[in-house]
Amino acid sequence: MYFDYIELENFRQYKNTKIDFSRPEKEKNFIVIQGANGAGKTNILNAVTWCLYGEELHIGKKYPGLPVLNIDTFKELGPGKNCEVKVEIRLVEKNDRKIVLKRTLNFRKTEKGDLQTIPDIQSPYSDGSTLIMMRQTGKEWVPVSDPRFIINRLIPRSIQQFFFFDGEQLDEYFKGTAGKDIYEAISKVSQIGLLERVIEHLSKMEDSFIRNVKGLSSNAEEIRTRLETYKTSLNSQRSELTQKEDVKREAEIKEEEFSSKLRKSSVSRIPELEKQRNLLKEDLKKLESQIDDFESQRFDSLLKFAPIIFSHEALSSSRDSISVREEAGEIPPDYKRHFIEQLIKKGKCICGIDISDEEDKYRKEVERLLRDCSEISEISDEIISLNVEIGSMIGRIKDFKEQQERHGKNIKILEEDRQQKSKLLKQIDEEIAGTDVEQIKQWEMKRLEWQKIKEGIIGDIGAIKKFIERYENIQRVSESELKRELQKEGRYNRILEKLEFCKEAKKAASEIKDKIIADVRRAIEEETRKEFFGLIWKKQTYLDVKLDEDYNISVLHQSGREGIGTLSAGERQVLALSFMAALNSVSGFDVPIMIDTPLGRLSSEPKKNIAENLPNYLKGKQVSLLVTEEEYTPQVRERLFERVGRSYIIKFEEREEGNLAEVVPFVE
Amino acid sequence: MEMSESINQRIIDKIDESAFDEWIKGFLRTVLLNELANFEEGKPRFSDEYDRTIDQYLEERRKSRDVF
Repeated sequence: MYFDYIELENFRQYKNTKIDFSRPEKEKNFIVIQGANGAGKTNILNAVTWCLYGEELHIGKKYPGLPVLNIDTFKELGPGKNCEVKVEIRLVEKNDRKIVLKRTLNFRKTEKGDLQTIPDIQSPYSDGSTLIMMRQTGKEWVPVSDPRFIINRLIPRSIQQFFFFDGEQLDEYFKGTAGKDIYEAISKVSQIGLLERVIEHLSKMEDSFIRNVKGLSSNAEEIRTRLETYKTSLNSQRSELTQKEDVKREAEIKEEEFSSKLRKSSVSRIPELEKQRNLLKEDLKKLESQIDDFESQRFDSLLKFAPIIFSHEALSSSRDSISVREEAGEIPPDYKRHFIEQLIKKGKCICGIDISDEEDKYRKEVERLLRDCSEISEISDEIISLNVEIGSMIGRIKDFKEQQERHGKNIKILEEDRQQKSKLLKQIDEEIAGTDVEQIKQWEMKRLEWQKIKEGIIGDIGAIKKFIERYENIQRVSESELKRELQKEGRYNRILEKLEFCKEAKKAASEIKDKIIADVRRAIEEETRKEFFGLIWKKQTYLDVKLDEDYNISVLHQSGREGIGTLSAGERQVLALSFMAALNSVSGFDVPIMIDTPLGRLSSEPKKNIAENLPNYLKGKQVSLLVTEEEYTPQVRERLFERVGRSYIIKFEEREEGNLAEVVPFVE
Repeated sequence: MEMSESINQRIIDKIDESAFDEWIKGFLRTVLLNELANFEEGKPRFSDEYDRTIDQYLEERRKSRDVF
C-alpha cells in the first residue's frame, strides 16, 4: 500500500498544498521532502496521523493547544464566517484499489473576532472532526460505513509510530508499553483476536453445558456447585491480575520517565550515576536469575536423590546383613538345583544309595531337598542382584554430594557479587538522593515512589499467578470428577459428548494460537537481528538482538549485559529502523513509511551506511523522508539517488504570527 | 480490504497442519468465519450458533464413525 497524494488545506502552516506521492517507476520508492528546521516537516507527519486517527501524534512543544487552522486563513475570514481545515489522503492498495480518506474540522470567526471550533456533534473524535472514507469498487466510489475499523485494520493506531517515525523522538520507542502495543497490534492483524474469541466462547459453552445439567444426584450437584465457585474465583483473580499488570506497566513507564530525566540532566555526575545505576540493576537482575537457576538445580538434585538419602541407613544395614550371610556361605546356597535334579534323574544319590524307586524314603528326602533348594536359589539370586543395586545406590550419594557442593559454591560466588552490587546500588541511590539540586531530588523521589509501587505489585502478581495455577489444577480435578459422576448417571451422555467436543476444540484453538504467536515473534526477532547487524557500524559491540514473549526488544552487549540502555541515539535509531522493517515484512502490515529527520542524530559515517542500506531492506515499501539540508548531504543524496522517485522542498515564509509553507518540487 | 474479509491464511494452515480430527478442524474453520462476520457486525450473541455448530460436527463425526 502506498500514498498516492496528500492534500492539506488550511492545516497549520499549509494553506493549500498537494503533494504527489505516486511512483514514476516501481523501483523509485523513495520520496524526499527537504525543509529547514521549523519549516513544517513534522506537520506533514502530523497531517497524516490527524487524517487517519484524528490526532496529531507528533506534536512538539511549540503547538499544543493551538488550533490546527491556518493563521492566514483565520485572518482573512470575515466576522461570523466559517471555514474548513481539510487533510485528504489517497492510498493505493496492492491490488491497485484506491481509498480516499478526508478529514475535516470546521471553524467560525465570531463577531468579536474570536476563533470558535464547530465540532461535528456525531463525531467519535475528541476534536470533533469528521472523517469520510471512500473505496474504489470498479469505476464506482463507495462510502465506507466504519472508517475507524478499517483504518485500525490497515495501520493500527497503537503501532503507527513504527511507520510514521519521528527521528527526534526515538527514545520513546522502546519503553514499557511498546511491547504490549505491538503484541496487540500483531494480534489484530494476524487475527489472533478471532482465535481468542473462539477460545473464550468455547469456555462459556462448557460452563453453560454444565449449568444446564438438571436433576443431578447430590454428589454430582455438590461437585458442580464447587466447580462454579472455582470458576468465579478464577475469573475474578484473572481480572485482578490484568489490572495489576497494567499498574505494573504504568509504574515501569513512570520509573523510566524519571530515570530518563536523570540521565539527561545537566547536573554534574547525575547522568553518569543514573547510567551506572541502570547497568547495576541489569546486572542484579541477571545475577538473581542465575542464582535462581542454581537454586532450582540444587533443589532438583535434592528431589532426585531424596529417596536414596532417606533410605541410606536401611540400605547400609541391608548391605551389611547380606555381607554377613555371604561370609557365612549362606548366599549363594552351597548346592544347586540342577545338581539335585541330575541325581533324581540318574536314580542315584551322591552317597551311592539307589533312589530310582519313587516310593523310596531316601528318594523322597532328595525330592524335598529339591523343593527347598528351588526357593532358596531364587531368593539368593534376588539378594545378589539387590546387593549390586544397593552398592550402586550408595555410590550415587557421592555424586549427590559433589553436585550439592558445586551448586553451593556457584551460589556463594554469585551471592557475594550480588551483595557487592546491591551495596554499590545503595550508594548511588544515596548519592543521587543527597544531591543539593532540588529538581534532581524531586525526580529521584518520584522515581523511587514508582519503583516501590512496581516492586509491591510484582509480589502481588506472583501471588495471584500461584493462586490461579493452584485453582486451575483443582478445577481440572473437579471437572474429571463431575465427568465420572455424569457418566454414572448415563442420562447425560449427549451433554458429555458436547462438553468433550468443546474441550477438544478449545485445546486445538489454544495450540494454534500459541503456535502463530510464537512463529510471528520468532520471525520478527530474526528479521530485526538481521537488519540491525546489517546496518550497525560497530558490529563487534553487540552480540544479539532478542524479542521476548511480550514483544519487548533487548540488545545483548558484548560485555554480556543488556545493552538497550547503553545504545547511542544513532544506534537506537538503527534498532528502531530494523524493528520497523521487521514488523513491515513479517507481520502482514503493508504500510507506507514516513520518517521525519531520519538521519538527524547520526554522524557522517553511520549516515552514509544507513543511506546505502536503507533502500535494500525497505524494498517494495514506499518510504517518505522528511529531511533537513544538513541531513541530506551530497553523500546521502548520491547513495539514495537511484531510488528517489520524487523530490520536494518546503518553501516557507517565517513570520512573527506564524509561518506559511508550501511544498514544491525540488529542482537541482 | 482483503484482510477483513477472510481468515488469515496462517491460521488456516495451522488448523490444517494440526493433529486434530477433521471434525474439530471443520468446526474451527466454521466458528472462525462466524466470529469474523459477528466481529464486523458487532453481534453479541454466540451461544445458539456455537450449539448448532457443535451439534452439526458431532453428527457428522458420528455418521462417519458409523460407516466405518
